[in-house]
Amino acid sequence: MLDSPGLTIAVRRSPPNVEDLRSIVVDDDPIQRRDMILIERAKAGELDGFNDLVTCYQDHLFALVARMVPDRDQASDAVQEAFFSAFRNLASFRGGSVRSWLTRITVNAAMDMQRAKRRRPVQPYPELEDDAWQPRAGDTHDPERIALKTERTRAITNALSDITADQRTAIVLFDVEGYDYAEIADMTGVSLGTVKSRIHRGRLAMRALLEGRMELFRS
Amino acid sequence: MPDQPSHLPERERQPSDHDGHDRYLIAAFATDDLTGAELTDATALVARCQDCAALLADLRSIASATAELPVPARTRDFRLSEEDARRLRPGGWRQVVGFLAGPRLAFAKPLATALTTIGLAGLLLFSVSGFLSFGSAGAAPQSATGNGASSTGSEAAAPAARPSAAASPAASATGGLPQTGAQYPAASGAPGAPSAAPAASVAPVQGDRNAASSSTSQKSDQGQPSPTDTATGGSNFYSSAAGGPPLIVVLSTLAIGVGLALFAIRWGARRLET
Repeated sequence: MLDSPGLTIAVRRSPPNVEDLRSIVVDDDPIQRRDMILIERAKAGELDGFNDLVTCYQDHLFALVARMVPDRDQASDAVQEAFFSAFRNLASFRGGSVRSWLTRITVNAAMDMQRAKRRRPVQPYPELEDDAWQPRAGDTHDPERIALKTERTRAITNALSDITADQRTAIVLFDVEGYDYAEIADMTGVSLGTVKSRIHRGRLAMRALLEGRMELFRS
Repeated sequence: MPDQPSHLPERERQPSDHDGHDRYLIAAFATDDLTGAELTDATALVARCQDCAALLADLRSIASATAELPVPARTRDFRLSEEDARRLRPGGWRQVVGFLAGPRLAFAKPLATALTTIGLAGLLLFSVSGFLSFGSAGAAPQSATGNGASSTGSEAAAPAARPSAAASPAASATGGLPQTGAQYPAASGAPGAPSAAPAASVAPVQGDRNAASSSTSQKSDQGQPSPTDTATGGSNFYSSAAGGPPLIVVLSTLAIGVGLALFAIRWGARRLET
């Protein structure tokens, strides 16, 4: 058994290098490869390269910030500021996921915006009243279900706007964007435990705020 | 009762001690964060408390509904214009700020912390050494003035003081007279009083250290071994022969200054960069 060729091969095989694995993953990911090409073009001073990157990510980043900042103008300003900041700091990009890099910059810009505007409360999510919020694809056209979904959305967004900015950011990044705790901790600059605590407390706060309307979610 | 599950019929509700239950444990359970004993506890809690079970279901419903929020559509194009790019391109002072705030100077913060800590430690050491020498100076007059002056000193300390007093003419000269520490430099510097004993027992106060040092150097020139040689050999670091501030104070202040400057530069550059 010990002399089997398979075992010999297994023993002789050196463990894979982490850096090698990372480079393989990066190379195999066409989106990352595209992003790296655009970044290199932008670093070389080509504005079109950076603007192509903006085109790729502006929808995603605006959707993220619009959930974090309960005012569309502020959300737009935060995203624009994030792209400005990314352009200024192109030289400091040291590889890795471009999407994560841009998201981190945008989250920071949104958090700065929330801190700066904390003293000036605004009407939360006024865009709910217009057509700017697009329904997800595949929604049923049943009027009753549409009405229920609209009410749910309104209730959730109102509850989200009433919890603290830190809790809202953590919940949006976790529940909506699907980032894990470590990524959120990295983006927001706090510890893993703080991220968990913010999510748990934020959800409990939302539940308390939705106390009279939980029927909407129990059906 | 905020957590009473309103969807349950009244007859199904059971009075419980739900208010005493750990809601954060349930919230962590809802995000599947628990393992081991906490997971067991949460599972048992949810199984035996209807309110906790309702809370768990509500939290999961809220998380699910949050994830299904509609996608807000942007109303602006965020692409940069040529003018934006020209304004944002690093150049001139921005380039300097970019360098100062960049990763190449990432070591500045730990270096600043280390320098500030060393500086503070140096100042603390100087203060403590001054305090200790002040304390020893308080005891010195008693030993130098012999048993006649040690009215407040212990009897055990007096015999130990006698040999040094006997070896020192100056000490003999001042025997029996209670003196303060400030009087010693004058006594030791007086003609015919070349003993180093007073100088050794002096240097209690910072202002007296210079006199003590000069006195000691005079003794060294005369080739007489002095008890202060050892002391001043180590205390050069704590005193300055030129009459300026002691070396340790200068170095500590310098370290603190450099450390704080590094902090300020790094912080300012990062603020300007953003």
